[in-house]
Amino acid sequence: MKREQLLDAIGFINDEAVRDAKAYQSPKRHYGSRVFVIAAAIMLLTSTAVAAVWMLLQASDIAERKGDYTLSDAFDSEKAISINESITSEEYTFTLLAIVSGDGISDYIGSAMQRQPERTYVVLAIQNADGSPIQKEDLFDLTNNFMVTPMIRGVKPWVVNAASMGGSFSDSLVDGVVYRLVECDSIMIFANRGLYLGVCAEPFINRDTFKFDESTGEITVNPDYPGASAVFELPIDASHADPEQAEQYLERYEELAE
Amino acid sequence: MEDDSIVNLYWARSENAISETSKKYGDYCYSIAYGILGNAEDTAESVNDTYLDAWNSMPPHRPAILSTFLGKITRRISIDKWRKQTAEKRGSNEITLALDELDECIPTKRSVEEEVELAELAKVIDRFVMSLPPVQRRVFICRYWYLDSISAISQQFGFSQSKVKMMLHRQRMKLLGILEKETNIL
Repeated sequence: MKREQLLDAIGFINDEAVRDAKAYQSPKRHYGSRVFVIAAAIMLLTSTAVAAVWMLLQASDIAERKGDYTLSDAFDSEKAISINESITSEEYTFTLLAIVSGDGISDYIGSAMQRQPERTYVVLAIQNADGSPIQKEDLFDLTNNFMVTPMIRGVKPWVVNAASMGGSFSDSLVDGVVYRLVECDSIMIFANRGLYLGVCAEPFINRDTFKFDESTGEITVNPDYPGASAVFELPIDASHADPEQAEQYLERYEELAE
Repeated sequence: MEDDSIVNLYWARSENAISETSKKYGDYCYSIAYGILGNAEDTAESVNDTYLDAWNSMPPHRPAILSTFLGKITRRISIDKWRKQTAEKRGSNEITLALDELDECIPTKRSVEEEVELAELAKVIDRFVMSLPPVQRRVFICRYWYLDSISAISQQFGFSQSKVKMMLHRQRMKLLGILEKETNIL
């Protein structure tokens, strides 16, 4: 076989795929350029703290750096939801990059997967709000004292969070930015309830970490919380929900919730 | 003008078919040819040959996707032209680089002289490409069908160049595995 035969054979790839490849324009590319313009305007008008958003790595880059190519592909696929939203609290800016859920979307197999093969993966970037790079020696503190967790509207976050949902995480420090990759049981089954991603400056969530409204189920930042914290609303289509499975899933927490 | 109307012009043997094709798909064909040949004069010649070939092909053909139909002609004509030129002298354009990369996909057990049936090989490649996740498939096609440069692909997809290179490398290794298995049957 000659390499030029390969080149000729590639010429017979089906027409629709060939047309689709050229027609495709990455939404990330468009988003990036829009963010660039906004960021540049902010830089000119105010501080430089927020302007670094467009420079962040993508969630797929983080997965690839961890050698998880399947997860990297999943973050690049249509299944992923690209968010790129930032919240500054105290001395940190948190940027939620992307979220993806599914079965078999990681090269790594953990014990939690045997119980719940459908997993959710989220990547969040943590930057110093003043624009200075996070130092290597600060990584230990951040890793041990920050929690990033999905939360479900109407469900007490100190009961159901990443720690109780078969969760794990890993941090990478790249160019002064900490990227946290969080994995837990899939949250898609709760999509019709409303979902959040919470960030707080402690390793576990207690009753006072976030404000939980018993009547509406809303979870928001607690204004009295003594540290950096943020709550992102996750834009997940309610059609992904599986209310029956969601009920079953939550049954195991009922005793704890009392 | 709609593609169907352009195809009808070919079938009616109207000379407007060429001008309408040029208006709508001239740039598309030019970019494919230029990626392969790398110079304006040869590219223009390839694009004109594409129109002639299209004129001779319709009828009897009535392509479902006119753009890809024309693109395939341009690609074939340009690669043939490149082969003639490089029989004398090898350049360093995208096709040379892409061919060097495709070397990695050739199973070592087979002699380089040994040829396999093109149609069978095309089926294997098509199955492989269609089995890739959509984004990967698009990247593969842009690199090895359109012969786009790595930097052009990274811009189109919003990926870093190293990510595109890594993705293509993994695809070539996967293709090598498939060809090693499948070409024993071919």
